[in-house]
Amino acid sequence: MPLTASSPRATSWLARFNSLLAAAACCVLAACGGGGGSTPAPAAGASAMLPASAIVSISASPTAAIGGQVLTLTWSASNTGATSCDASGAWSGKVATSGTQSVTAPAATATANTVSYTLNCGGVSNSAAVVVGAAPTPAPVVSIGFAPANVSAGQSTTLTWSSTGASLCVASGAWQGAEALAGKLALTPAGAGSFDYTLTCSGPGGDASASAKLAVSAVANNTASVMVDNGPAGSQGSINVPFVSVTVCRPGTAVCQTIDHVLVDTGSYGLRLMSPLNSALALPAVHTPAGEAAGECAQFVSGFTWGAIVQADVQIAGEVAPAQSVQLINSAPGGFAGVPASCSGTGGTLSTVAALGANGILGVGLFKEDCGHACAGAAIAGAYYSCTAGACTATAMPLAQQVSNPVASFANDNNGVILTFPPVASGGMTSLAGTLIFGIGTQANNSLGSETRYAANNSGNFTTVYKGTTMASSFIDSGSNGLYFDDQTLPVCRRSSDFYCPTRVLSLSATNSSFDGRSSGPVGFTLENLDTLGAAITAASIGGSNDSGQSSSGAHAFDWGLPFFFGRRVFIGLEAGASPKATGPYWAY
Amino acid sequence: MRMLTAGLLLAPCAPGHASLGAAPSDFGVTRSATRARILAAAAATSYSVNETTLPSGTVIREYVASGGNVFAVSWNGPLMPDLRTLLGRHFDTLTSETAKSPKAGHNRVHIVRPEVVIVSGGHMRAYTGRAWIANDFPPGITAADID
Repeated sequence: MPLTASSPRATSWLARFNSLLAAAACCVLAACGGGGGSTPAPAAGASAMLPASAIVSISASPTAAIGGQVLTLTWSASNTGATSCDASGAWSGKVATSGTQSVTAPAATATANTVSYTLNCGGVSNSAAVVVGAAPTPAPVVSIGFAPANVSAGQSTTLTWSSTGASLCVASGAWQGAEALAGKLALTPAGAGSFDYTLTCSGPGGDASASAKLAVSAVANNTASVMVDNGPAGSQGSINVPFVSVTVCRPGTAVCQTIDHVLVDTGSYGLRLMSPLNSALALPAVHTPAGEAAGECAQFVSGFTWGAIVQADVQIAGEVAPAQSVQLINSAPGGFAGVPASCSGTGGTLSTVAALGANGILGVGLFKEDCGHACAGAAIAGAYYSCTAGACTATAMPLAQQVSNPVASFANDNNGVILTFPPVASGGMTSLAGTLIFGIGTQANNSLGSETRYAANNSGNFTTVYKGTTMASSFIDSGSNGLYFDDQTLPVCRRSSDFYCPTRVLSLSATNSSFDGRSSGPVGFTLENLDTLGAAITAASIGGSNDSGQSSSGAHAFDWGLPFFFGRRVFIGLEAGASPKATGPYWAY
Repeated sequence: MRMLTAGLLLAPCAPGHASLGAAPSDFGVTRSATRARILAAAAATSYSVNETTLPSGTVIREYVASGGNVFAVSWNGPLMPDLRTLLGRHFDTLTSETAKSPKAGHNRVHIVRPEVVIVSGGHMRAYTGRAWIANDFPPGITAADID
């Protein structure tokens, strides 16, 4: 934000000018009050036989002015015997013995700043004095600002300044030396801190200063390694499941626990961890508007997770999201043991490591809250619950207390994530290392370059066209372990009839479009035979059917699961409003 | 398979507590629409569609044959409906199948059995699914008609 300031010197000049005006007023009073100098005043006790005194009076209004200002002269002569008067001094010509006239004050000169308007009537004269000041020279004005004014170390920003009424500018504070009267300067601050960039510009009217503040946050390590492997102890093995380690701490303390094998899920929002955690953590319960312990039924296509909502500081890589609502899967909110029927009615339970195949889920998709306004405005069965030991009942839950994508609460890298993996050759891999990068365009390592941006709708979907079929509910989801779409011409597997098993690796293509059709581009993908993959393979480009007998509505989906991320750098842009920097929802790749 | 919509008919079905394969279900909210469809090719065959919008915003549809039994259901919206109610006795098929799929994803249900087909997909805030009993389809109906 540009700052402007006026000059202290300009202020003191005004003060001096005002005192000059006061002095000039005294002067004129003296000149007028005396009744003129050249005519002797009547002597005390003079007889009435003497002729009446000749008096010439003249006054100017105002008695102080700047050059060019219009003044009014008022005069009268009595007992002078003259029928007209001669003007001299700053005016001239013959005038009547009384009258008023507008005159223009002359400019002040270097040697004189008082002008006299003199009137001579029949040898008697008088003058009015006017103090003339030079027109005040405007003080310089300086504007200076950063765009952006908040950056992380290593990120560039631009300082822009301009001035008026100045002939010289000098930098101080975080920069030094003479500078142009206007200019731009690209900066890449290396270290964290708050920096004041001050510019003082001087001109005939004085000088002026302005400052711009640059806030540089320390570079958080925004890179977490992601592993695709066989899953955590207690799982049944997995394929194409990306795992990250997440640390949770009791809010505001260093009492923390790191949980490995948390599923990185771009198709959900918020952190869920399998209970029990270390008892020393003692994460505080989150309460419902009724003041009871909050429980949640989080729904996934393959089942639900049930458990209490607790509060924790969430740390991943060098990022911290303070005081987050986190679901503690398979815990008993308020002491309520069991699962509400309206939750278990949404599907099978995923509330064990074996069923979930992970120690938790880190939802880093397009939205902030897991439910959003629907759950803030009404009690919805199958979502949030207010619990006592005896019962859990559905409740509305304010947005701020809902389980939320922690990325939105990071200090700087809060507008989305990038998930990227190297290419996976045919035959698959027994493990695969990828990277989860926080922030988009917030650090040197996460700028959006030549990638195409595809806007998603408010459900988090865009459009895929595959073999002439338009699927308007399509999405990119690292939590899906395959590419799921309907193609009844593809052979299915022996091992599992809902996966495709082409006899050799198939190269296919589709077209993805933003939900509003503004951007569009082809996307190639491969499918390989699940039946022939080795038993130890944990990463491979596989796919299967997600429907049988396409519906005529065209509302169904191409689910771009984890294999889509192989060999791609996929940006997941958070919905606008989720954080100050967020401008989504969108994907870019 | 093209169909013509024959306009609104009153649904004669009484709310019950069973669904797919039985009478339509009662979700405790007013049905937002009931439509009836008559096949152009077989005008004697008709079925109706009960459409209900749940408080969550999720829309469910029940396809009711002229005999009163639900032969197909679908759902589409930000939260899962109560599938135990909607799927009736086939809910157990859903839970038992999803419980036994090693190396399966967390984002797709695709159950194809002679007695029922259940497909479910989407992601948080956007779920869609369909289920049907092909043996109960009125003549001329296919899975493509369920949406």
